[in-house]
Amino acid sequence: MKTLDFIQALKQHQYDFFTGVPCSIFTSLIQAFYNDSQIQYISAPREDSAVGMAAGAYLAGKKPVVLMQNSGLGYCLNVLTSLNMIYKIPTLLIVSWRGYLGQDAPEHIIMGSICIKLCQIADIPYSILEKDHSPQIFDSISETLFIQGKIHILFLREGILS
Amino acid sequence: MKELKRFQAIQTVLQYIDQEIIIHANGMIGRESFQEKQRKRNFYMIGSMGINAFIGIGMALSSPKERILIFDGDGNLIMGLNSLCQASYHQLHNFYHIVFDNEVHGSTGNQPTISNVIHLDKIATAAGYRHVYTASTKEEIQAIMPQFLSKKGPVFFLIKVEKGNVNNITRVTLSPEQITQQIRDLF
Repeated sequence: MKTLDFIQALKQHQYDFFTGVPCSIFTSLIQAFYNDSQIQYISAPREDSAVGMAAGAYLAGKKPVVLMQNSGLGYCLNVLTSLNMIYKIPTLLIVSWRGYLGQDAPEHIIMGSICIKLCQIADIPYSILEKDHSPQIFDSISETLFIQGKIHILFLREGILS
Repeated sequence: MKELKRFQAIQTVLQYIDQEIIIHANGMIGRESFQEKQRKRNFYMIGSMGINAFIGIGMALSSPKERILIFDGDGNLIMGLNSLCQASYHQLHNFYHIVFDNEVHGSTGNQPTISNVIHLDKIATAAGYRHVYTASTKEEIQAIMPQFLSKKGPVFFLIKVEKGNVNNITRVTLSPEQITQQIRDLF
C-alpha cells in the first residue's frame, strides 16, 4: 500500500486525532502527516501518554490514532488494560514491528518475538498489514473499534508501506 | 503543621465549579469528589495512574470551547510529570490543573512521595504554565479560585493538604463504561 493511500483511508474512515512516538519505520508516514494540512500530528513524550491523550480525544468525540514502535507497547499495557479496555475507549494503534523474525538490533529482539503473543494473551484485537492489502482492511478495523468499542493494533513491518 | 484536609479542600474547590469537565486522578481524590458531588461533567480514573492529566490534554486539544479541569494528586502528577510539559507546549487556554498535594500515596497506606522536597508549583512555573497558584488553607482556596478560573490556561493550582483519608469513603459506583458514556454524552 502506498503511504498516501494509507493516509487517505484513515481520513475516509474519519480518524481525526493523531498522536504518537516515532519509529524509523514511520518516517515517511509521519512526514506525510506533517505535510497534510488536515492532520495535526501531536508528538507525545511517551507511548502511554499518547494513549492517554487519544483517550481524552475519544471522550470529546474524536476518532483517535496512536503511532508507536512495538517497544512502546510495554509502556502502554497498563493504560490499555486499565483504561481503554475497561472503559470501552477505542483507539487505533499503528505499531511498528521491530525485531521481526529475530532480525534487528538487540533491544528489539525480545519484544519482536512476543508482541503478537502479548496481544493474544491480553485479548487485544490486532492485524498485520501486508504489502498486498488494500485500504479495505480499514472497514473491519473500524467495525472492531467503533461498533464493538475495542482497541485495535495494526502491526506495520519495515517496507510494507511504500 | 497543615490543617487542611483534602476532603475539605475538594469541597471548597467544587463550590466554584460551573461547567468545567473535571478529570479525576485515580484513588481517593476521585472518590471524595464523587462522594461530595457526582456531576455528569466528571470523569473518574480508577487505574492508569499518571495518565489522567494526559486525558485532559487530549480532551482540551479536541474541544477548545470546553474548560478542562484536572483534579490531580502529587503521586499521580509525579508519575506523569511530563504532562506539565505537554500542556504547556500547547499553551492550552482551556486547561486548569489542580493538584491536591498531601505528600503521600493516600490509597496504598500513606507511603511518602517526594513532593515534600520537590515543589510541583515550581516545576509548573518552569514548564511554562501561564499562572501558578498555591494554597494551604480553606481561606486561601476561596481567595484564589475565582482568579484561577478566570485566567487563560494553562493554569496550575497546588493545594497542600494533610495526609489522611475520609473514613468509609464511597467507591465511584459508576462502572467504567458508564463513566465513558457520561462524558461522551456531553459532545
